[in-house]
Amino acid sequence: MRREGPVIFAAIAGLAVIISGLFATDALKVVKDELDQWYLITTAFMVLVGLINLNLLHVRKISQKKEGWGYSIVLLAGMYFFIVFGLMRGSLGDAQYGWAYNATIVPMSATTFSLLMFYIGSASYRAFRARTAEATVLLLSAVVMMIGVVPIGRVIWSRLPDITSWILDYPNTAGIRGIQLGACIGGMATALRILVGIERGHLGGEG
Amino acid sequence: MSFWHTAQNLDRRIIYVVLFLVVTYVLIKPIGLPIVVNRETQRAYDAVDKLAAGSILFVSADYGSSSIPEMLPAEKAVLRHVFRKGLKVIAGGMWNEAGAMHDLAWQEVSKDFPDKKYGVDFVNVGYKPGAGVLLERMISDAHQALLGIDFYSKNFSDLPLMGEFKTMKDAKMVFAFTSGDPGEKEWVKMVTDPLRMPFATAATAVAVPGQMPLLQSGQIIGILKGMGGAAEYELLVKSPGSAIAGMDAQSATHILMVLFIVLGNLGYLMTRKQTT
Amino acid sequence: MDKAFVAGSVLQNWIVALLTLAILSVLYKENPFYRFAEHLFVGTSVGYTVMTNWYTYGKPTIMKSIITEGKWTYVIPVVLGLLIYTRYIKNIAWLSRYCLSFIIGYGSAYVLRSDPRSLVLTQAIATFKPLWVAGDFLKTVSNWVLVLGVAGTLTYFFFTTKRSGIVGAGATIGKWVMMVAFGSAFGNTVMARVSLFVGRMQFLLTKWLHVIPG
Repeated sequence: MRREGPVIFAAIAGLAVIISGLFATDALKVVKDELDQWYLITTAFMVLVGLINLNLLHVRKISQKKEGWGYSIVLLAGMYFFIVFGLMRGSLGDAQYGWAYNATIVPMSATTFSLLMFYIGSASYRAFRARTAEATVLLLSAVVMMIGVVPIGRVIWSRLPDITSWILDYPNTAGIRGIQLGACIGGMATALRILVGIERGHLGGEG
Repeated sequence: MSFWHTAQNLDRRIIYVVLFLVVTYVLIKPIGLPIVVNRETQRAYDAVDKLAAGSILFVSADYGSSSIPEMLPAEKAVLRHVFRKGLKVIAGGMWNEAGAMHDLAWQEVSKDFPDKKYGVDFVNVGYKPGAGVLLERMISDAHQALLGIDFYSKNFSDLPLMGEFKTMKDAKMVFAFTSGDPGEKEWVKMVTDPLRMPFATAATAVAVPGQMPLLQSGQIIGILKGMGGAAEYELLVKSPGSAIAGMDAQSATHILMVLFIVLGNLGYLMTRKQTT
Repeated sequence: MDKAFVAGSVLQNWIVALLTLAILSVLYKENPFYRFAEHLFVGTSVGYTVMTNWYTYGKPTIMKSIITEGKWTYVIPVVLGLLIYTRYIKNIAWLSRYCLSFIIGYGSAYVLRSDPRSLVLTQAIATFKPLWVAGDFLKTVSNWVLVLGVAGTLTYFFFTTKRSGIVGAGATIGKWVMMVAFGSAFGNTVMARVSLFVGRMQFLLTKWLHVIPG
C-alpha cells in the first residue's frame, strides 16, 4: 500500500471533482465543496517544507563552518526574525510588520529582478546575432517591438505602434496560441495519466 | 584588433554603466514624450467605466514585490477610477504577497479619497492558498473559501461590504494584475468564462504576449500592457504617477539597447566579411 | 523613535537604499555586501511566506473553523498536510505520498474539468476567422496569418510524421510564425526588465536622494 494506496487515493479524490462536474446534484456539491476546502487547507499546511530544508542545509553549514557560514547565520536570522516578529504582532497587516516587510523584502526582491535589465542588455548585445534567416526574422520582430511599445516609437514613425499592435494581434497570437493549445492538450493527457495511475513520478523513489 | 572586433566585444561593465547613466539622466531630465492611450487600455477603462455605482469589482493581485514598478501604478490608477465611479472593491489574490500589494495601493490612494472607508468601500482579503481551486470555491461560498478573515485578521462580520459579497457571483467584474502563474488563465477557466463575467487585466510586459490569445478570443476585454499600460491608465484617470514619469527613461533605454544590438550585429557582419 | 517606524520614514528609506545598493553592487563583481543582502533576502522571504500561510489559512482553520465553529472534518486535511513532513523520517517517509497524491490528483482532475472548455475549445473556435473580408484586404491577410499561423505552429510539433508535403509546408509556416512571436516576446521582456530598474532608480532619486520631486 506504499505506492498503490496513494495512487488509489489520488484517483478517488480526482473522480469526485470529475463526477461533480458531470452530475449537478446537491449531495455531490456538498462533497465537492468539502473536498475543495480540504485541498486549500492541505496546501496551507505544507508550507514548512521550504523552512525545514533551509534549516537543514544552513545549520549543517554553520556547524561544519563551511565556506560562507557567516551568511547562513544572516539567512536564518532573517527568517526567524520575520517568523517571531510576525507571531508577536498577531497579524500580517500589522503596521510594524508591514514596515519591516517594506524595508527589506520589497527592495531586495525588486532590485534582484531589476538586475535583469543589465543582463538582458549585455546578453542581447553579445548573443543576438542575425546568423540565419530565422534569427534575422526574430531580431527584426524584437527590434520593431522594442521601439514600437514605447512613446518614442510614435515619434520616430507614426505607424510604428500600429505595426507593433498588428504583430501582437496576429503572428504573435497565432504562434502563442498554437504553443498553448499543444501545452494544454499535453497537460490534459498528463492529468489523465496521473488519475489512472500510469504517471507515478510524484511518488518519488523507493519505499 | 580591428574596430569592428572591439565593437562586438565591449566589456559588459561598459554596457552596464551606459545603461545606468541613461536611465538616471532621463529620470532627472525627462524628455516629455507624448503618451497615447492604446485600444486595449481604453477597453479595460471603458469596461470599468460602464459599471453602475455601488457595483462590486473584484481586484486580484497576482504579482509579487518584484513587479511593483509595473503593477502598483496600474492598481493605484484603477482604484482611483473605481472610487470616483462610486464602485466597491474586494481585493484578493493567488500570490502570497497579494495582501501586502493591496495594502500599499490602499494606503496611498485612500489619502485622496477620505470619504472612502475600509470595510465599507474596500476590503483586502489578501492571499489565500489554492490558486484555481480557491477561485472555484469562491463561486459557491466566498466566505468559507476565505475563512471569514481579511488581511488584517478582521472578521468578515465586522466588515459591512462583506455582507454584500457572499460569492463571486456578487461581483460585477474581475480586474486582475498578473505577472505569471497562477494568473489570468485560472481566472478565465474557473470564474469569468463559467460566469460570463467581464474580465480585464494589467499584465507585466513579459506576460502580455501570452495573454494575447485570450484577448483575441474575447475572454479578456482589455489589457494594460506593462508600465506603458499603467501610464496610459494614469492618463485616462488624470492622475499622473510613477508610470508616466518612467516612460521617458523606458524609451531612452529601449533605443540604447537597439543601438547595442545593431552595433553587435554590425561588428559581426563586418568581421565575418573580413575573414571571408 | 515612533516616527522612525512609520511608513516612508527616513530610517526605512535608508535601509531600502542600502539594501538596493548592496544588490546592485554585484554588477561590478560579487562582494560581501551582495552576499549579505542575497542571504537576507532568501531568509526573510521564507519567513514571510510561512507567516502568510499561518495567518491566512493555518491559524483560522485551527482556531476559527475547527475549535470555534466545530468543523472537525477539517482535522483530516490538517493531518494530511502535516504528513508531508514525514519525508524527513526515513522509516515513515512513504506516508508523505498520500499528501502529494491528494494535491496532485485533485489538481489534475481540475485540469481535466476546466481546461478543455476555456483553453482549448474557445481558443480553437476563436481561430475560425473569415478568410475573405469584403472591402478590407488587410483584415483578410491578417486572418490568413492567424489561421495558417495556428495550424502551422501545431503542425510544427508533429514529430511522428515525415516533414514533407503539406506537413512540411505547415511546419515551415509554423516556424516563421513562431520566430515572429518569440521576437515580440523578447521585445516585451526587455520592456518588463527595464521597468524594474526604472522603478528602483525612481525610488533612489525621489525618496532617498530627493533629486527628483515626488
